[in-house]
Amino acid sequence: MEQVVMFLKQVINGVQVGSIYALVALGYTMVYGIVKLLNFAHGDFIMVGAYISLFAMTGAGMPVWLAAVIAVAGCALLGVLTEKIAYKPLRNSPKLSVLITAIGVSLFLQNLFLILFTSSPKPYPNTVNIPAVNVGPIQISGVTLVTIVLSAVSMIALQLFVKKTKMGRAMRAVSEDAQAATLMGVNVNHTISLTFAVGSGLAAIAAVMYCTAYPMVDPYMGSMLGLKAFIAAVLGGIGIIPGAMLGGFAIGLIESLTKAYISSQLADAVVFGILILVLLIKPAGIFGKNVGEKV
Amino acid sequence: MKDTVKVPWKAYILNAFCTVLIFVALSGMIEAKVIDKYIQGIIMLVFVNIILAVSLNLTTGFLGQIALGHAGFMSIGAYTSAIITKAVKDLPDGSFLQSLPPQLIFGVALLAGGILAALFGILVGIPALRLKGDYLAIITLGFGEIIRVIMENLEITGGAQGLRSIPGYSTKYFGMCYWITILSIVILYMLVRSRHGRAIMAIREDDIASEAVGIPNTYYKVMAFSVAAFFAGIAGGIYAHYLRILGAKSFNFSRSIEIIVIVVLGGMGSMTGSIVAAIALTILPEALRSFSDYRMLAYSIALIVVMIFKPSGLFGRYEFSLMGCIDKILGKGKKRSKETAAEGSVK
Amino acid sequence: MTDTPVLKAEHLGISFGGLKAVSDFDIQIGQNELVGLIGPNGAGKTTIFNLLTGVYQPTEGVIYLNGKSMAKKKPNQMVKEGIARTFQNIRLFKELSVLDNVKVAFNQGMSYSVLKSIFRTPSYWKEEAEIDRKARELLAVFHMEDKADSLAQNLPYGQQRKLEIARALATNPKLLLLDEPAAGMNPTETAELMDTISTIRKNFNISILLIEHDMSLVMSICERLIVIDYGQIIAKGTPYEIANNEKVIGAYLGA
Repeated sequence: MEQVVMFLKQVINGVQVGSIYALVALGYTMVYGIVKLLNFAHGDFIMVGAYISLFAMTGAGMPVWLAAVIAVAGCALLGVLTEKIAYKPLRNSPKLSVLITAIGVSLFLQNLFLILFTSSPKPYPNTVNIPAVNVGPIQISGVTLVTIVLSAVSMIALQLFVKKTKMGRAMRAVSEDAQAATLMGVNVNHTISLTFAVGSGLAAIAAVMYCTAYPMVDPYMGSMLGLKAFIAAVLGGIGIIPGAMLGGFAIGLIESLTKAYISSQLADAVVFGILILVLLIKPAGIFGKNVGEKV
Repeated sequence: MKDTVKVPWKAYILNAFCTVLIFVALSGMIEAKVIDKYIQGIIMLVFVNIILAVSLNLTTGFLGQIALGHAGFMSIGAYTSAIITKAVKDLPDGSFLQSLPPQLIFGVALLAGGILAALFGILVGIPALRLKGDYLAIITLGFGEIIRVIMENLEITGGAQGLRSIPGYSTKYFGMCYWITILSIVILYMLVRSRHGRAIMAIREDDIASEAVGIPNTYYKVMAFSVAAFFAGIAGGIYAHYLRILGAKSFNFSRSIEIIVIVVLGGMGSMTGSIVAAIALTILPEALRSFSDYRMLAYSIALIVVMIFKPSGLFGRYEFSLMGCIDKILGKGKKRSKETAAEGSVK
Repeated sequence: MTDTPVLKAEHLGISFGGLKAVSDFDIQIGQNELVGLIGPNGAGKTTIFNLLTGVYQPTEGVIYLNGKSMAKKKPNQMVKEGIARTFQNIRLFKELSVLDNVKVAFNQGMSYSVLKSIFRTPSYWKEEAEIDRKARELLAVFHMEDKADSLAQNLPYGQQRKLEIARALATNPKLLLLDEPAAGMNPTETAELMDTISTIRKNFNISILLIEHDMSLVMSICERLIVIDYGQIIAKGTPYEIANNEKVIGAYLGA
């Protein structure tokens, strides 16, 4: 019985972390789907979101929801600006150049914040004061509940946005065939900006949730988180929104269970190992279709 | 038909002469204490970075596959060679291995590190057969991280504490490290300027077409990855015996990125570009010590700016040629064929 | 001695996810023959080329080259056996020199090892000198010897097509597959291309299978034609027979 409780606790942990990964993975997937760009800096957007919300709360004394809104706005703006300044000029360049630029942006953000705020982690205030809920012998903390509920709401909202609204349709059209979308009167530049804004905004929500669970902020916090979320996106099939969600939960669970039952040091290695296996066996991810290059 | 391919003896002799000259100058200055321990250390880092950049250029510049795990291969070479030399040092006095010249031990250790790294390079090269671009970049990154995590958790590598009191052979045998660096450059250069190098570049240009003219893509991709890994392992070995301690953070992701930066700025597909960039990017941050906080910031901006305005890097695919330069000065550059001029450009 | 056909395939077929792209495709090409493969867009012509060159593995049927089975051969092994091709949308090594484009294709006939190239042994120099000469001679056939040092991407369109053919010939093929060589060419260039093709046949003594939309070209140089539609052969015969075949006319007019 104790074994089972322990296991279920790990599963809940996994779902909590996984829902954060899923939110970040959504950003990766949307951007990749639309500009076929692996936005290496996406993880660092989380870090920026964390700092913005931190200062909004500690510096300006804002309540957490307002801080989150400001972080979302700030990250959305950052995403749009990054695209305009660094990625747009390279839209027709070889993939290698774009990838290197994305790495450059990631390095830039990390080191800028390193210089601004030093490498020492800053504590994040305790924001969620919801009592824990007991489900039988298992206690689920307020933070966990809020994280899971909030990310579920965000994902549903995103899905509705993409499927039901005009802007969402434009996004899908551009990711299908940008040229054809242009001919049909879709403003591709606007759509790409919008995608970056939405994706980066999701990163900010993820940032607030992550920091609530692990209350530390430092300039490097986004890189590993971003990488894992990227793995989640690839696992589910990059460019596919439900795939990113599933991938996020899968990575969260795998990580949490590895930490509990195998070794906490090896957790990262296991996650990367799974990525490699998936890519070798099914390169397009679980939900992806294999599309070979046309000869 | 004119015969355009012949042995460029003049260029070979000139380049050999220059490398010896640099060697004599460096050793003379060390002997005369013009170069102190600190500067010698920087020069050693230049050697390490040259080997790393030139080898990474093989996969990234010539094969056209971005690899983000070069530090992982470097760490394999570093730990392997350090474990070997440490073990020999710790043997009881008077044992056979200890009676051998330490240069030999050092050389064998480096080679062992390189070979082990090359074996792992084959392992990474295999996914490279099925994947390219972003996915491959992530895979190589993943491999690098896995290697790092494993290295940090093995008993033989000292776990999270790392290895300490590694013999300081690199500093002691400065000349040996110099010649290893030269040899690495020459080997990679000769490889690239051969039918094998042409095949590798053809894969970069169009892997479907390369297969359609009979290039065994599989063989050459795996070869490029393992050769690059081999030299990264050698560089790691030299680095370990210079630093004398190996810690958890020595070979992380940002180390791989630093090597990529060198290759990109120097020019993907230019060996001489990598050499120049490695020298510049090792010396500059040291010279501008007071700005060291801004080093990575400057790197990142440089990366973005170069990609936007000159994606081919400083040298592009141009190879600097000493012989070509002299010919140009003497005004007979036009007569030389491209092939022979390029042959002469080793350092 | 009976003549073994250079290429022979029977009941060749491939399906993608249950959809039959090509089925029951029979072909036989003799020594030095020039055969045309025509059909409406999307009929499966390029798929047949991809089957014949090992890009796709057939789900049915086997390909024989000079009587030898080509089952499970990869594209680069097919080249070794003597099948070379060009591509519908030119695939040159754009940022390599014209000369190097051809030299790459000579690679499979060369033998010096990695070690020999590192030590620059005499065999390296001998082979390199030899293929340099051969590559330049081949370029001369196409009147491109003066372009040897320029980058392939800087060639005008017509010459890019020619370079692709030259590159294919450098692999020393017995059978050359040309995928719409005249696509995008003006009438003068097309006429020149027809000359080139007949020169190749004469000088290199090879068989050619040609996909082409330009009917005047096909009708004037091909000895035999194979017409396919929806992945199946609908007619075979001399250009004259094909021109008067009602099925073919129907396929083209969509009747």
